[in-house]
Amino acid sequence: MRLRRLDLARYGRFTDHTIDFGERPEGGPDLHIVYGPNEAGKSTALNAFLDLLFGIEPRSRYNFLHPYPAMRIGAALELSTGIRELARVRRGLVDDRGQAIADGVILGDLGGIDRDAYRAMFSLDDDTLEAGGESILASKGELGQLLFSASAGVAEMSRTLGDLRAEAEGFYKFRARSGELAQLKAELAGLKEERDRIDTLATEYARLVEVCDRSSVQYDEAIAGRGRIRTRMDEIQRHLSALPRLVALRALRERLASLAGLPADVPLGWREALPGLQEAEVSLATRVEGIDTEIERIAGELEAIVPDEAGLSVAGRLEGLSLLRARHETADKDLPGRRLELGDVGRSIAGVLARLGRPEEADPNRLVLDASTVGALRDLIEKRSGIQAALDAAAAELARAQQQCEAAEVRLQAAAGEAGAADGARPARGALAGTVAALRTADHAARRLAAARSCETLGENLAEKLAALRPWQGDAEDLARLRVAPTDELERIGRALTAAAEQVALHSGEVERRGRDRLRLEAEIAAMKDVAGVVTDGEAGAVRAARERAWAEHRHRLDTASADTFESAMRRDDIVGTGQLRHGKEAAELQQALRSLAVLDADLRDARDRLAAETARRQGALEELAGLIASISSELSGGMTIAQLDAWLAHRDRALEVRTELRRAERALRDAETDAGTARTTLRGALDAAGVRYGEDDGFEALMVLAQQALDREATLEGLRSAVETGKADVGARQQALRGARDADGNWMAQWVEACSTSWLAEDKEIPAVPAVREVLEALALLGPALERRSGLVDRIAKMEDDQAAFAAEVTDIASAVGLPAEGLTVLQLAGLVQQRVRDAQDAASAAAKARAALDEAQQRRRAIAEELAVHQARKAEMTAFFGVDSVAAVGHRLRDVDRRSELLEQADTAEREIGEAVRLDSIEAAEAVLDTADRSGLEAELAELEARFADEDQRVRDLFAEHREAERRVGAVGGDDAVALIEEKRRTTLLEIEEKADRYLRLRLGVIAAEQALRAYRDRHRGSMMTRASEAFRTISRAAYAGLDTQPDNDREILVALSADGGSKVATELSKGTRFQLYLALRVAGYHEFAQARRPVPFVADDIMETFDDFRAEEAFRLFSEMAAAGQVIYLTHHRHLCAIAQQICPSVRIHELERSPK
Amino acid sequence: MRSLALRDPDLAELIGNATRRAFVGIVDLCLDEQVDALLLAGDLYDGDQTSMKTARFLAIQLRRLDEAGVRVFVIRGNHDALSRITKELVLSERVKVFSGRAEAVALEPAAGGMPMVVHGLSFAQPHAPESLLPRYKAPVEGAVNIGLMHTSLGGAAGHDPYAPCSIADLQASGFRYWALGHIHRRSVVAGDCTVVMPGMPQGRDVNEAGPKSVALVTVADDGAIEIQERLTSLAQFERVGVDVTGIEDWRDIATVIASALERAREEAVSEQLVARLTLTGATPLAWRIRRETDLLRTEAVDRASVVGNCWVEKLEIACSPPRTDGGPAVDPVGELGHLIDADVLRSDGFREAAVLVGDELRTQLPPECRHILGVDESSFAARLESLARSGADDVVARLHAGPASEGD
Repeated sequence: MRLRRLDLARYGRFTDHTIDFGERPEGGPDLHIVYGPNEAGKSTALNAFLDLLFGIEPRSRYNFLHPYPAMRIGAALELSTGIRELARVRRGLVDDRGQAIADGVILGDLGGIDRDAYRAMFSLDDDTLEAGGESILASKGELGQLLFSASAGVAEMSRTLGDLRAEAEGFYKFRARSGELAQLKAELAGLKEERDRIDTLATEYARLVEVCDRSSVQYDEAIAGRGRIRTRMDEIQRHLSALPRLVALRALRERLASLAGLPADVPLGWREALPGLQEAEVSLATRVEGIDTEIERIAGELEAIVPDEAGLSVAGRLEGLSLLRARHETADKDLPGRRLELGDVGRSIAGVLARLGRPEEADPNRLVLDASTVGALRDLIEKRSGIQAALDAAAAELARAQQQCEAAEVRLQAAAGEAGAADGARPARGALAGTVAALRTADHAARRLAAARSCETLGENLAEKLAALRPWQGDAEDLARLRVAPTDELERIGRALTAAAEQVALHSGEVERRGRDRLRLEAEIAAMKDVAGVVTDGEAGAVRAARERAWAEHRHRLDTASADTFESAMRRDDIVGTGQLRHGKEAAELQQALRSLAVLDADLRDARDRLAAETARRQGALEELAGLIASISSELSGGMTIAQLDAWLAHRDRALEVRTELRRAERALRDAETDAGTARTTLRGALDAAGVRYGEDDGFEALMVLAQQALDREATLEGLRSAVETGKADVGARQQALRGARDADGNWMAQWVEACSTSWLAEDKEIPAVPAVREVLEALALLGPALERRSGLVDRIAKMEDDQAAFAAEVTDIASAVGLPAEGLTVLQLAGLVQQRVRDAQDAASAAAKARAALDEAQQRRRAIAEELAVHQARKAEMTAFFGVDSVAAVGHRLRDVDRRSELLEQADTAEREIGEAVRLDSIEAAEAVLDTADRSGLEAELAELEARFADEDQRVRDLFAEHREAERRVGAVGGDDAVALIEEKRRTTLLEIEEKADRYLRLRLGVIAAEQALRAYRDRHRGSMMTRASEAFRTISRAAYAGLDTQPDNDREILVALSADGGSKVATELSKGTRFQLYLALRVAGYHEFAQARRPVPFVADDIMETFDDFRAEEAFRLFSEMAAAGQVIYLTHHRHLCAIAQQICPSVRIHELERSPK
Repeated sequence: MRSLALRDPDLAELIGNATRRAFVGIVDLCLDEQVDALLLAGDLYDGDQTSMKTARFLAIQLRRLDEAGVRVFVIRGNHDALSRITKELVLSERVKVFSGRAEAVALEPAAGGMPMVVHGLSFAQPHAPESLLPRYKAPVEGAVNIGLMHTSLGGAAGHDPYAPCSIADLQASGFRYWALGHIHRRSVVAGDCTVVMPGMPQGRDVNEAGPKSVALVTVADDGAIEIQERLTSLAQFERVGVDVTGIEDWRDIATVIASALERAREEAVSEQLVARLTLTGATPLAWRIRRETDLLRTEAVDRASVVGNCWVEKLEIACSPPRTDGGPAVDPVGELGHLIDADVLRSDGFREAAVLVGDELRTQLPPECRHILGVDESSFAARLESLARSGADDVVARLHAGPASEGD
């Protein structure tokens, strides 16, 4: 693969930047230097190249200017299938038409190398050079590793293998005590120990059960022994405690004997009843005495009261009397006032009559008018003022309207005189208004302006376009007339040219390559032929034929000469035969080479033929193109390329487009001007018809102003005319209103006369006026109520005088009935005496009734107490008889003695029972006998001894109990828990971990061993050619300070040695640091050649590796690159200007591409 | 259980001692379903199991059944034939442990049901090269005869036979039902004579993958047999394949792993899933996967924890870089790989070196682990070769990284 051109369309800081590496130079090295100062983007360009090949990295650092989706890298790549235009965008690879194509197009050409491998193998920078030097040291010069590192670019090889070995040994290392394996084994041991600690085996379990059973039996026995001692101790203690109880029992018995002779028991309830009985005896006596005294007092009170029968008999009439008395008193108070009031009313009636002018009227009631008459009069009085007001207003308004009408007429006449216009022109002026309105919307002026501007601009534009068509000359119309070949024709020729050029390039490459191959093969054949004894089959056949001929001759002749001839022929044949035997392989190879040469010759001829044919085709296409150009215009150069022609045609198309636009603008201008003329003519016609005068030269705008003024004047006159007509109509209306008001006045007067004539008001000679009637009505309103009041008062006074007479009659009648003397007393005094007499009689009667009721009640209570007393006496007699005593108090003493005796009996019984229990005998007699014979001090001695024994026995029981509990606990502790199972599981997991890690250990160990052995095989395979090249390169770069490289065995390895010019040798590890860099570079160069020889070469990119090189070394380095460039493309990136000069000196055909510093 | 996943303390907490928990689950099931009897067809525990704690655990669980009136029939299999720990236990009368002589025990028939007889025979020795079937008692007439037998049936190549006999023989025995033990995989043969090998209640490693169960058997009044499979495994092992063919973005690998785990989790019926992941297929990331297996395993463990109740015990790599059309890779690392494959691994020199390394490590390993290096010379050599092959891939993967990808 080769990079023809790299387009940094949108990538990093680049926008549309192209680096054109051009075609591979014929015969010379394909070496390029990309020069750019710092920050110019050298590493960006390198990365872009890698992204182009392998895809833009998802987390690219180069999207700071162009966002990730917009990034684009284009290139022209020379692939084995031919040159391809490609571009890399985010979604993948596309061709020049934007169609997606598979990455395989590139990757296939690279033979499956991925990005990392490409970086490692085909690029070189300061860091890799440095690391490479280190790796030489690290590999201790081991040849396999060095060759491999140089080919693969893996500088870290020995470190990687070392890391892997160390990783494996982290698990286990020969004779080492630490490591994961040891740790895991320790864990296993720990788990086993823990298990042993907590687990119980079946055998141990059986033993534990046995111990548990035995301790259980011993414990039971000890408990029984201790119980027996306890029993005896209890017995002794009981006997000792019973002795004092016996003495107390006997004392009780003596006290009981003193209480003999009491009744066995007393009836139930007596004890409780006794206190109540004593209390009742006292209270009953007191109550009998009190009630007797009360009865005596009440009887005395009753006898003292005297009754009054006469007084009581009139008591029923007293209520009626008090009613009469109240009326009498009211009349007494009211009468004088009422009489005064009557006098006042009489006077006010006389006053009213005087106001009415009828003081002598005999019957004032006649003067009061009925309601309907009064209503009609009031209504008419109210209406009077309204009718009068309407009449006045109508007259005033009529006068004002007449005045206004006259004023309007005066103004109209003045205005009409000023205008001087005849009414006949009015319709024409209406037409004028329509025309003005229509013309006001016309836009011809604006259109004319815009069209004029466009014409000007387009004219200039067209001139420019025509100028761009040089060398052709002419105006736009000439251009439009030109005959141009159809587009598809042009495209066809273009395709034919491109195809022919590609084919020519392809076949010339083919011819060149086959020519090279042929030269190489010829050289090989020549070399083989130089080797002594190698003969071709043809030569051998000729010798054999000569021998046969000599033999035939000799046989025929059988003389010495023929014998000599035959011998010599035979010997030559032998020599050839022997040679063929010895060099059989070489001979076969020679044959093979010769056959290959023949095939190659045929291929070469074929390729040349094809090349000639394609060149002819290309020429044909070029001629066709020239014909085409000539057919367009003789002024155009016949040597135009197809691209130039395309451009010229595009310019022509654009010029023609401008011409069409210009024509359109001119047409628009003309249209606008025509419209303006038409509008002016129309307006002048309308003005003539309306009789408006104007200047003959007035333009459209001035005419529009005149027309508008005429229209405004007409509008003013119209307004004045309508004002006069309105005024006349108003005057008519007002006259009508005045007539209506006068009719209403006449009607009212007729009604008034009618209303007055129905009453006494018309009794006088004339009809009264409105004010007089209003006064009469007011006075009449007072007369009616005064007359009513006077008749009411007369009636009330008569009734009161009747009431007073009735009261006096009743009082006198009652007084005579009870025999009270009435002489010398007023009616009211007599009435007071009567009332007092009746009240006294009623009081005496009620006191007598109360005393009788109290006496009855007291006698009732006296009977109840007597009954209660009888019951009490009977109860008392029963108790005193029972105990043979005479008082209730004595009964109480006897009852207390009985209680005391039963208490003593109970105490004695308890003592007997306790003693019996202590001695454990049922009969008290037997118990007393036993205790009487007991030896107290003997018992106490026995008890002391037993207590000591008990303590011992108790301790023994406790010990046995603890022992048994422990045994039980141990059996129980075995439990069914999963502790052991969990440990077992952990152990298995640990074993699995060991297995897994052992697996990993073996994999890594074996993998490393295999890799090391493979490196040896790699060395054997590549040693020859690579050593030769590396040796040469090393000599070159060291400027012959070293003669070259060699190898020497070292144990089972083979190590690299550097041969110094003075004949000494150094192992790689003894070389200086700088020399090691050079050695690494030399090895890499050899590696590249090795690769390029076996496969298709790919571009090799070095990034400023000569920072530390002096100019001489740099020269030699470029010499190496130049040699590499003979095999494949080499690109060197640098920011050192002087390196460019050095490179040009070493390799004049080097191409230098400059990157500009950032455009900022 | 044997799984590296148990290195995770969380999982150990969840499923530690899963076999015991499974047994508790079986007892719970017996109580819930109010069964009449529990049949245990041998190999309750390994013969090297001498911890009384195990026996006590068994006793405690059997007592729960005893209290509920459930009968238990036990025979000894090859693993627990000589077990001492059962002897030390006092089991109730309802637990019948059959001896080395055939016996038949009648079960109380349910009201209206047919009488039932359970036949059993324990292994007296860990080995039983002959069929035990002829030694069983003849079936009782008019009863449902149930046989309890520990047998490897036809056996499997490479494994010793244990009381071998054929399904046909069992079906011809006149028994109504055979409850078998020994083989860890469930199998059921229905018919006039139903033969059930229920498998084990809890898988112990990835070779015993899938859900595990017991058989809940109902004998109808007319003697008809109905079998239900009841899940008992707390955790189930599964091999989960992950196809990474064509994946180019590193992050996508984690995504396909996660979705494979999710799928496996959905399909798994046990409470916990312990997965062994195997990455297969051709991808440009093959070398990186091999190089950064540890990283990927961590990622997989993370994803599994997100899926929930899902664990990764191991991540195996079996993927390769895609083949290019241009024949074998042309870069030197590729050539090195090719050299290893074609020349080195077959060479005597390498084999000798490998044997040395293997022998040395073997002496250092605990005896329980030595089997990983094979049991005889030929398996040792085969093992070394496969280790070397994948080891070489590892090394080549590391070299593929190159200096540019260092630390990436």
